[in-house]
Amino acid sequence: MAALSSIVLLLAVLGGAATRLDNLFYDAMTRLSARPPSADIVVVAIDNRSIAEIGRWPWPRSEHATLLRRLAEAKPRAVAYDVLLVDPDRDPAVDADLAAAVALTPTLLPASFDVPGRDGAPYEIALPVRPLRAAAAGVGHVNVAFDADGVVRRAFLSQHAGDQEWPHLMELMARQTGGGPSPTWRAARPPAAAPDTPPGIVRTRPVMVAYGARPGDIRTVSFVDLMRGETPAEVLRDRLVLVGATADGLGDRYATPLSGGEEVMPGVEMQANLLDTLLSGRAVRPLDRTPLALFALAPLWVVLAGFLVLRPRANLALGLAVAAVVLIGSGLLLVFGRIWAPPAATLVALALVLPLWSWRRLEASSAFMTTELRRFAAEPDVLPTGAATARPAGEVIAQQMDLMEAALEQARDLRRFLHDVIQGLPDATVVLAADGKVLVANRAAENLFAAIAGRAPVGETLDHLAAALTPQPAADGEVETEATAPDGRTFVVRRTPLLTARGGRAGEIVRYADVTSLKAAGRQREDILQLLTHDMRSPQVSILALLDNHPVAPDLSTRLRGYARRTLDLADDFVHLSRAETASLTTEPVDMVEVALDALDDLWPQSQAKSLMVNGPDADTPLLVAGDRGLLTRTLINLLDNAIKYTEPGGRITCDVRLDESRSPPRVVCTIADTGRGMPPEEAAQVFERFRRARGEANRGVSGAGLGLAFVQTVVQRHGGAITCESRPGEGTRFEIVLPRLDQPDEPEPESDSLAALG
Amino acid sequence: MRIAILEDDDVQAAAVNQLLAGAGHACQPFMTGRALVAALRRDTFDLLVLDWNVPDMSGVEIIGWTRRNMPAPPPVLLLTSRADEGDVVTALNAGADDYVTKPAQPSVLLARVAALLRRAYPDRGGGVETFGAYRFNLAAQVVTIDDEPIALTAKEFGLALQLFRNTHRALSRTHLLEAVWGRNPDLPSRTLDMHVSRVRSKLRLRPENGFRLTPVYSYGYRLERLDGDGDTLAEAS
Repeated sequence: MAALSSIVLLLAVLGGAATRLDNLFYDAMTRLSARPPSADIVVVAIDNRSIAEIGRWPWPRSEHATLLRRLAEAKPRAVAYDVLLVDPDRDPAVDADLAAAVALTPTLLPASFDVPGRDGAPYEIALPVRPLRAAAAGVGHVNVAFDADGVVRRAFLSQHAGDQEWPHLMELMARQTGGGPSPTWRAARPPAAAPDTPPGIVRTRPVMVAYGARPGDIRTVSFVDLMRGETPAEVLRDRLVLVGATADGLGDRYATPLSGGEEVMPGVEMQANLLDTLLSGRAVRPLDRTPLALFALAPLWVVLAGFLVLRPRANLALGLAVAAVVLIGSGLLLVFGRIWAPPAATLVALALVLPLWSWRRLEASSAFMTTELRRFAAEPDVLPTGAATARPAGEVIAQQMDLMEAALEQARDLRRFLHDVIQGLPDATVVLAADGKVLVANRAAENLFAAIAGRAPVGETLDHLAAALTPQPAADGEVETEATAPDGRTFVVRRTPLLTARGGRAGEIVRYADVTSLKAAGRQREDILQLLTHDMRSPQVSILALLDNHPVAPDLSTRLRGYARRTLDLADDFVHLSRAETASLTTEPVDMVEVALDALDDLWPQSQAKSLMVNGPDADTPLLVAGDRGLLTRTLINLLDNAIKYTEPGGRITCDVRLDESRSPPRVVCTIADTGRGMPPEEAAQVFERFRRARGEANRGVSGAGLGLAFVQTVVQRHGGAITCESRPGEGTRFEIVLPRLDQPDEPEPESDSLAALG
Repeated sequence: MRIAILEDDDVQAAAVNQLLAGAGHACQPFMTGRALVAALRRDTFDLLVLDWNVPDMSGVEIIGWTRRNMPAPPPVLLLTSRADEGDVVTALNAGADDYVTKPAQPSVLLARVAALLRRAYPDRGGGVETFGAYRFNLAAQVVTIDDEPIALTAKEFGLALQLFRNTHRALSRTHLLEAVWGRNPDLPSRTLDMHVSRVRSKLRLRPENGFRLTPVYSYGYRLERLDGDGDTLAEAS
């Protein structure tokens, strides 16, 4: 847009598209800066009175000769005789007489350029008749240059016709005072081609005429008065005298900037103004192309640059200011600098660019808003009710307003929704802003903090509010912590960071879940376990102690012992299972080979008593899993214990640990197999259920509560593993535990310090 | 040795009393924690055998009392009905020197009592220590099994010696690490497990050889000496 407007403006300026406006401004400024012409200039007017007294024009040449002689008596500095005397008189003596009169004073005569010329020539130069030409001090052209509106503002000081250069008559006049060419002549650079010239004629050295005198302002002497000697000689002495016609219907008349379109100025007065211009050096010089272009474009660029950085209001002010500066600057340049820089094109450009640009801006912001609103409308809505937005219809602005309204409505709904959701949360919940202060608190949170901190939470920092809560030590990496209120309630505190759409930190949601009743339930469980571990076990222990120390029939003693043991085992198994299900796992790297050895060692007396052949693991490298060593050991003990129980004396038990690398990732597989009595497949499928024991006559007398395998399964599953059972009646049972292997590259190297030991 | 027994169940108190008296100890049973504390104020005992659960004061509380009020508290063996390993560790960390789960095997109870007394009232001599077939030459840092030399690193030797010297006693991981590695912390937790594992295999500490090395749940290790049937070998004190 900037480039386009610049180009258009440049063409307008150089092509003179706004000339008429410029002319108006120029004429106004000219009238403002008008000043009286020099007193050195005197016009001898061939006026209506002269015509009336001397007779009808043209006059006999003798009249002119008479006048010139009169003039010569008054000794003016020079005379410009603006009367065409191009045709020879019928009597050559008359011309000779006139030539003699011409020679008395430095007299300048005009030449006429007739266009078109004779016989199809483009022009013809009509010179004064030969004797006059010889007697004259010089011959100059008197052509005027009309502007497009018919007003004469310029003159060309020089006119080339063929090889010959004709200076303007007034330039020649000016040279009569100073000798050489006038300063204006020297300053005026010839333009490449002046407009409106006939072919073959080249006009150069343009000058804007500085009109100082309105028609009639110049000191004027009537031709007839001078001829009759009624004019004092002092009026003309040492003056520059212009002789020309002012009478109605005689001679040429021109519209000038001073005439304001009403009066016209006689040619001779216009010439006087030109002469005054040349003498005073007040000629106005039109700007050359390059400075002209700069003068026109610079203000536009300033305003365009302003668009980029300023707000619309400031832009308008800038535009108006620049326009004023251009106008005033142009006026000042004209009045004081005598330089003509036309402002109109720039003003017009500014007047066009300002609204155009504002429109573009509006258009762009409107388009942006519409796009954003449409995108917002297209985003998935969290609220199911928000889907009923009708397609926008109607006028464009109405559409945009509809979109805007829908977006606002959605935002309102969302806010309401958010508020309701937070209020509806069962736990005390506060939303923290990025600065850590409470932004939103639901009713439960208000009640909580009213109870423990005695104030409303909104606007307070959390540290302040939660000062009354005693935090419980939390395990590393836990997002939830526990805190106890002074009134005994226990809360689980969970902090969740809130993110902005771009991932920045917007705040935090802190939730206080009241777990007091959960805690109470936990304590109750503890009490039950306590009952089982101690209060139920203790009597059994006493029974066993009594049997040890008192004589009882051996058969009865064995059976009593059996029942007491079973009760103890039941209590133990129940406690173990309960712990395996609920206690938090404390995992560490555990070598399953060691675990298998521990279990085998633990049951060595039992296997020994039944003379069973026991094959332990033969892996010589640790096979690590992440686990709870105690639970894993008890798991294998339970399985081995079963194997020992259900295998006849002399049978074989295998407990192997190996790495199964066929799986990905590799797994640690622990196998416990026996050659015992086995069980049918449907029974094998149910072995892990609680309180299920091998039924049947053969199994009577085998102790066990049926919780051992449930414990095994629970532990294996909690370690992320799996357990399977294969069994065939009469052939034996095989349990396989598959656990995820722990990758621990930093397994400590065996210390090779045996040398140090020797030293 | 004078041993105080705290047990609220008189049948069990009588059984323990009878067992320890049979091993030559002078035992005094107490039914309540307060009675025991009162006796501890005016009397001296070489060992306390405490039941965890007595109505007025728990065994753990009495351990705390002895630590606070006695300049040289006697070693404590805790008898517990609690089968849960987690509780056992709680007791050990609270200051009990060892524990036995009820119903206690007589041999186990006797072996643990003997171990605690040996530890608290040592009677050590010579540069060579012998434990059954195992002979530790402290000067040469060499172990032989039935005169067959076993190659051990210095750390393994130190660890094995600690375990044998404290046979029947639960040794905490911290105790073992400090005794063998010195007060140099920050070892990977697997380091001790690996060394115990190698000592177990090099010294063949398996039931068939009369020894059993058992982990004490998340606490440490215990070396036990067994008789031919795999039962704990009770040593005369």
